[in-house]
Amino acid sequence: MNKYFLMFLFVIGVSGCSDTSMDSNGHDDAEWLIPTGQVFDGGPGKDGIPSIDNPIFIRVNEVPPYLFDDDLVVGVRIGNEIRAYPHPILDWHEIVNDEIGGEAFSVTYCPLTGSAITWDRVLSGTKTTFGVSGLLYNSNLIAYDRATDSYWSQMMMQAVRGQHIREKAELVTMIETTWGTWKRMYPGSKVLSTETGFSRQYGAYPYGDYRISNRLIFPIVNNDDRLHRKERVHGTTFGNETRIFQINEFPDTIHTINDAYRDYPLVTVGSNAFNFAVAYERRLEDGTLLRFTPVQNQLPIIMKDNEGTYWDVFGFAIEGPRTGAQLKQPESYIAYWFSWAAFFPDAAIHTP
Amino acid sequence: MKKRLLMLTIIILFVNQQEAHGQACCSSGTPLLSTMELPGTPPGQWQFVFTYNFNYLDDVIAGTQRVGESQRRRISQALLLEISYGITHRLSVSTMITGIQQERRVRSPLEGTTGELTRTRGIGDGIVLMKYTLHQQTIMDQRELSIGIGPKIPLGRSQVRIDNILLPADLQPGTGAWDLVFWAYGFKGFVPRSPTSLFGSITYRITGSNDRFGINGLGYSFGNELQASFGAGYRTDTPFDATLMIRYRITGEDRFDGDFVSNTGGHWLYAVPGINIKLHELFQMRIDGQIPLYRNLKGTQLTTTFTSSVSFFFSL
Repeated sequence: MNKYFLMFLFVIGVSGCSDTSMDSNGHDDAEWLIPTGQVFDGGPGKDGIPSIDNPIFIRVNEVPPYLFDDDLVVGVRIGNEIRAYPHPILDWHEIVNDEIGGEAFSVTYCPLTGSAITWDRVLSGTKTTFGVSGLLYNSNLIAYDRATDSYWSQMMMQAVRGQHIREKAELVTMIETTWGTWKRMYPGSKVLSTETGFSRQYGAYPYGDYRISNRLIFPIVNNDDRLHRKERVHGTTFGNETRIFQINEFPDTIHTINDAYRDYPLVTVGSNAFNFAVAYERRLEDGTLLRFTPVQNQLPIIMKDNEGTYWDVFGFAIEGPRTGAQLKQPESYIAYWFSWAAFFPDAAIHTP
Repeated sequence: MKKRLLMLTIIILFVNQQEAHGQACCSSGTPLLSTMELPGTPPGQWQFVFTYNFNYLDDVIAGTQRVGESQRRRISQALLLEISYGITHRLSVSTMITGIQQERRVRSPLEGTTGELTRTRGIGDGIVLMKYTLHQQTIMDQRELSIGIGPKIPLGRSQVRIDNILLPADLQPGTGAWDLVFWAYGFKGFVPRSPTSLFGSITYRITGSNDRFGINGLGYSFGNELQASFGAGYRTDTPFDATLMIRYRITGEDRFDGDFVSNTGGHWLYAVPGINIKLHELFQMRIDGQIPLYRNLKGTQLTTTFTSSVSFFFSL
């Protein structure tokens, strides 16, 4: 008896050391632009966090009371159509596949890095939708396009696996601010409805104290304690170089910073009280170099240039000689500091 | 006897050579603690319990509220073998070894396509418990009280990857951590006055930390876990006896790098109805189910819709 029992235990012991095999039809073996050892499965799986593919919009005055003035929204303006995408909805879906006037785009948002980026969803002439892959790199969303199953690192704004590997996303101008500021800027705009086709608690933030605490849920490749990990900062990237502006270092009034970063003259505009920061290129396509000064109390107009044109927060010329023109937004967005430092370890923090 | 041992050996080998399985966040994973329900074992006697457990997770709960449909469904199937041996009248040792298969299926948003399916299989963690019987049951005094203590051994893998991408902790076969388990069991019978008996068990697991991310100092640990079960049994003159149990489970939040992980931990209350079938003097079968009565979870979690299990007991 004892002999057989010992034999049985031995078999169990050996078995415990054996390899495990598994199968998945989610992610096949392919070249990656990022180290897969630093890519983590977040848990929900591919499309486990469902994108919104048929968004419904309501007017600002129709928004139910789940949205508070200090909640954040992503704003997009294409032509005269202006739409807001509240974080409390994006927290649960991360991607909204939308279209305005024939321009198809995806609003992508990663709750773990606090980053919102909007990009074109027409790839090589094919209109597609983006979904949540369920994978994370530096705690940041990896989206995938459903036409080719290419994987796109949100904060790199680039395909990191699949047919489109190495291609950069074509960005769509967007802003991020609070619901309170948005209502003041665009009271007649449209807002993404909670009628998403999914039952979710849109008033409840799904990650506890994550957005204010110092904690992370997944490892990152570079940790930088120059700022609090979850401080929301605005960054602009040029190749491998990145410049960071702290939103809470802007004055409460609207403030413009005209300078040049490498060969790109930029204006960065922000306000701590209105909780926004945006950047635009100052050189126009015709070669004109503009210089901007802030405009107070006329939201959504935030600045005027040396020629006398008034510009809104989306970079549209509202009044003056260049009415109808739009400034070009460089690769820039707002995200938590830790994620900027993880993706761009040499990021320089602007000092006033 | 030889045949039986060989059969068990083959079953375990079969589990291992297929695919694998795991310890899961909160509600899935190997049901180690809930299955440790053998009382102390008489001296020189062997007791075996072989259990198949099916755990279906399709409820999304935020706090105490059910929040609509889930995009994903989880199924966890475990094979558990508990072997107990009585060393003295009061002292016995129990070991549990496990195999588990975990499945995550996500609905595809595209019509006509199947969603992602991720499946893992393998050996899960094990437990060795030293049990001490404080009060032994006799015909005249149908009370028993036993306590136990032992390690949960990280036999299962905790760094399973697909295409070099690390799977989440709750899809891993093992926790990768040594835990300390405390166990207590009580029984009170009333024969011949009544065919009813009362029983209960309490287990508490203090969890250790693993190095699943392979980065020194960035340990991951599951929350400590307490399970308390209390129930009544009803004996009949037929081969069938009935039991009804209430099981309360509480887990702390998981931790990563010392900080709490969102959407982990909570309270669960289950009803566990079961039937015991006497197939032979030394051989019994048990079928039970676990139905959630109340859940109060941290954040929003995919959790158990129901669990069912079949166990076979025999003694030598």
